[in-house]
Amino acid sequence: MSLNINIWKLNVAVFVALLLLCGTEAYLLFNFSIFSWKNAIELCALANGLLYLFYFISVQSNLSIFEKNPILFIAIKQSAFAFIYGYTFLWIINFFFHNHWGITVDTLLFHFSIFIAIMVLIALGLLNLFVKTINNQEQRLLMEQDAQSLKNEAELFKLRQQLHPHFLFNSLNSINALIGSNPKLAREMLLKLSSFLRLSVKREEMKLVSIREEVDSLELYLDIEKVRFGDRLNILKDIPENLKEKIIPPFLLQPLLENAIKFGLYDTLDEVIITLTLKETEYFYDFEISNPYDKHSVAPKGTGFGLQAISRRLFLLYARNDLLKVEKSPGIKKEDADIYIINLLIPKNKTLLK
Amino acid sequence: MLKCIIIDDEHLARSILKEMLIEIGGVEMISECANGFEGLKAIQSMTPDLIFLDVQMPKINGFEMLELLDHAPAVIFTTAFDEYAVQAFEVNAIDYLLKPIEPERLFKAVEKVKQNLGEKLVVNDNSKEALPFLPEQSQRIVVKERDEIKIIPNDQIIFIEASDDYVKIKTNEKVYLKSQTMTRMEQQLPPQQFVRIHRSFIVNSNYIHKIELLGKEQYTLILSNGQHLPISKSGYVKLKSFLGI
Repeated sequence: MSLNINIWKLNVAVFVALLLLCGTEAYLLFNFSIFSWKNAIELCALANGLLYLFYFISVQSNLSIFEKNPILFIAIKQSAFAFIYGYTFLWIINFFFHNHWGITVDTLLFHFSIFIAIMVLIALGLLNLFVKTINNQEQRLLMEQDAQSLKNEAELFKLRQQLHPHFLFNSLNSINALIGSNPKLAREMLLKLSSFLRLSVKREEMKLVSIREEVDSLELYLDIEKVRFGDRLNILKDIPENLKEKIIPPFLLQPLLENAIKFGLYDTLDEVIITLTLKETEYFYDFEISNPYDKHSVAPKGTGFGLQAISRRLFLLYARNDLLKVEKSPGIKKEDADIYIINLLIPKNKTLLK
Repeated sequence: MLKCIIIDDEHLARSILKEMLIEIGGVEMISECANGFEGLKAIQSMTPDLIFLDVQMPKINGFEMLELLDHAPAVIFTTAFDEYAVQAFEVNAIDYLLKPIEPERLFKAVEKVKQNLGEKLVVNDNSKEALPFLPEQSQRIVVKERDEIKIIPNDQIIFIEASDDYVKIKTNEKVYLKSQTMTRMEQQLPPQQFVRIHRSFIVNSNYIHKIELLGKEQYTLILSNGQHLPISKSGYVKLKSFLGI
């Protein structure tokens, strides 16, 4: 993907190319029997230095009025420099060499070298523009990626923050209620809540966790919700035992399940069934989460934000946009709620981009 | 005795509150509701003095439920997290309790209600007056139609017309009535989608078809369904800046 050309590497290449060009010019001059070899080489070195200097000045100089049409601008600019170069070249030959050796350069040869200089300088100018543009774009892309990932992290963090205080304080409130009526259950719930928080904090620092760890944490979360919402919440879970030691990035599954709870449980009045299954395919671990939702219900705010953040995070991890699939299927009977199905595909080979 | 109703979708939250209220005394629990719909029915049939209201509930939240009441009782919000506190005081709630609720705070809140009622300070005489503004824009509008509660997503609203003490909410299917002021309506709807083009009209910009010049500085708005709406002078200025022309 990366061209990996530095401007200074380009400059070295240009220097060498110009050296070859001037060498050719000198050779031609030599063949026209104007110079001796020694003079031709001297002239060649001088012309090369001069041409490179002009090239350097020409690509470094910039006029903002032409910025909207860089190619035309460069053609004009490089032509101008080529003329200056040509005349300076002529002046040098006349000044240094004419007096000493009595040489004159004929007009045809002069125009020929100016023509070559124009062509070469224009070509080089365009090449420089091209490389600079690509470099800029790459740099911008990298910066955007960085910014995106930072923003993404912040959003994910915010998302978790949004959900956790509600969950946390509501759970504490439930425990408070249970202390009086059912101390045993209260203790159980408190222990589950602390395990859940401990696992969350621990996984926060990890780039990869085992499916077992991720699912354990989800189970704690669901158990707590079950106490809060009683019989309304039913979970169907199918995670094959042989896949539990495989590793995946943390906190991808959890927000999806939180989302399912948010729409399936918090926003419905009846009993709900939320399913979580895992299948292994040739290239992916395929997690499927389904929850009922009311098609008439309009979320008060922040709809879909969670899913967007997750697919962005998946993109940053795997550079793919097709790892999160959302599907809505109508209920079997007319009065049934619709089903919302989310598939999270986690590539099996663990090469993460970051 | 204060007649009170608890509205919360978590049974444990209701039971701990009930327990604490019994301990405090002077409060009679007349009903318990698990969502806004049940709450609405219970309030209308039992006319309690005080309700304990959770904010986050299925289908319609606590604030939306209050909007549907013509005469709201005294309200104490109970919620797990304080992002709604400002909003709660704007709907003239007596108090705002954070879960888990401290018994002393609850005691103070109930005392406040007793004081207010004793001084015959009627708290929420008319809910539409009692709601000066909600800073938070909503993605939906909740209306009551006979005994049914209807949730209208913003996208389905074509325009809103003032009609005495009510507003008429026009959608593709039908017209709904809601006891609300235009100013309040304008504040509640997201300004990037809705424009008030006239004292009596707020229009959804998605349904604007074109603007026609009638006479000197007189304009009319044509909706995508062909209907014409008047534009006032100040409305035209707003519309111009909204459409960026």
